[in-house]
Amino acid sequence: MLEVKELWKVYGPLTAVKGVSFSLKPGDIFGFIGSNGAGKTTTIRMISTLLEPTHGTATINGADIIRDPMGVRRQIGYMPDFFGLYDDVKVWEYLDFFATIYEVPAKQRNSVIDNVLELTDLTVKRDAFVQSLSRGTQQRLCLARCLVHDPALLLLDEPASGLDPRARAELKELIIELGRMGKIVIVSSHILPELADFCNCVGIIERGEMLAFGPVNQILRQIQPTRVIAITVLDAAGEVRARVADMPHVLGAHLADEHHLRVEFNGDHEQQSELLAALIQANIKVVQFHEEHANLEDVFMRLTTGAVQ
Amino acid sequence: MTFRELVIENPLQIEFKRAFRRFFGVSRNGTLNAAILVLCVMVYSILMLVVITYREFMSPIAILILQLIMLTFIVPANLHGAIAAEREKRTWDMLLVAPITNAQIVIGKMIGGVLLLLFVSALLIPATVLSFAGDNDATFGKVLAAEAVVLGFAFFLAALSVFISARTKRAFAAQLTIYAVLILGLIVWPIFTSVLVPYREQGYLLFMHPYYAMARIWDPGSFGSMVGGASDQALFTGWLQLLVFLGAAAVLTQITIQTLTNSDGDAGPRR
Repeated sequence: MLEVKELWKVYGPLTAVKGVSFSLKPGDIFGFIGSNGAGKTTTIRMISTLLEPTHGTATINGADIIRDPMGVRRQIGYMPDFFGLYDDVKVWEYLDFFATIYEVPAKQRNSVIDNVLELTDLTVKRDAFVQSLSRGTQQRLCLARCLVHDPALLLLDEPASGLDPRARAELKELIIELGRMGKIVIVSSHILPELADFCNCVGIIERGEMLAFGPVNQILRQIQPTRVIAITVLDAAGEVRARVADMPHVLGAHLADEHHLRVEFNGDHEQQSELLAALIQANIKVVQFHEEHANLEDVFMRLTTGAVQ
Repeated sequence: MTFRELVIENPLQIEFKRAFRRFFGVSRNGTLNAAILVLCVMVYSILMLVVITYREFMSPIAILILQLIMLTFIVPANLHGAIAAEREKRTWDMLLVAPITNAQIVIGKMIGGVLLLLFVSALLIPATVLSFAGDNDATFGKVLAAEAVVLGFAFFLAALSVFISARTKRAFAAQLTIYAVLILGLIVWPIFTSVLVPYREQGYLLFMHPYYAMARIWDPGSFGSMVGGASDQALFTGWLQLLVFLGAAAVLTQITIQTLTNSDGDAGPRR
């Protein structure tokens, strides 16, 4: 269980993080969304014990980042947005080094390394030198490093940056698998459609303030409480609009262009099909009729102003 | 923190493996490093040949000064990147979020440098012993006292290198800073002293200067009279210098441990 309570980080006149609070339970995959400079990395670095909060705290399974940073470090795996790897070491030696640091018993180290290599699909690279790996493979090795001590919480800061589409897809699968394994995963990213695919919870931060937090569907409902149905007609949409506006459960009809209408609708799926039937019975020539779903990008654009600190 | 945790079981011993590979393994810089290693072996062989051939004209102090010169360059060259290079390569923060104490990190980084300086010093022991033949005034006590100065200074230099490395973001900047401090301490300070301070008082201001201290230990009579008197000769025991250098190294190491910061320059929660 991760509980973040009123985290603040102040650098002189600049307040990088303003009272961020949220809590996550095992298995949660949390998408942390925000522009550059919004405060994502600072928040993640405070949770990882790299930065000391000016005010507030966070606890991971009872271990407090201020009072028990060592206890927190034993439970987290942190992958920074920019990271390096040691030269002149092999993949298994790199993992063995971190397994030693993370106090994995010597007798278990080999099997732990084999397991994380298998999970991250790096078994064939076991004896390769880390500097010889591609960017995507290095990213997976960094993730493997985060897993050697079986952490409860994974902090992945922009893990997909610089990866090609295939590597991104593989990383996504891996994160989903980690969520299934009961780990709390915090992923910060700019690639919003991808986050929506695998995060069950998102937080939107701007200028250090958490603007929204919760399950993706809940946040989508918050910004778009009514359903929006896009209708394309053969006739002039202006003539159709008044007739549609009078139909049941229609809250409003707006002209998108000459042949397109956007209808705010508060009915369910059955009532939606009745609306389509009513349009056809009224001899309106409907070419397209579909519900428009808001996505994370819409939510992000709606809630944020793009301002940075 | 126990000796076992700090030294014997310190995970940073992986640094030895990396250093070994740089010279003997197949890596990007392997060929260049192997060439440097071959060059070092050749220079060492020539030195030993010269000492064996001309041992009747040699003095242990010459070998000890050679050892001091070598360590003055080797120790910073080996340790300047201990922490700065980790910051530069962005591996530093991953080490800081691990359950490892600042003391383990700093001591782990220093162990490699200290072992190297002891190895270099050990290599020069045969030459020092052989050169006894050429100096009738050489005594075991003098050699030990001078060796104490050399090793004390090298330990201090190791601590200084890690201290400066911990305060810089670039390994090159750390290296420049260390050599700048050495130039100030070993060259500018004696010049400043010789110009502004009377002869009789210079010994008090230079008693921690390793080259000056070795000269005073080796030849108190001539060097003492050359600088105007021997009233301060009691300072040049070698052991006093060793104690002060080790004390300063311990203080610097402690400060480094207590003020270690992440790549943002923030100390984070106390370890």
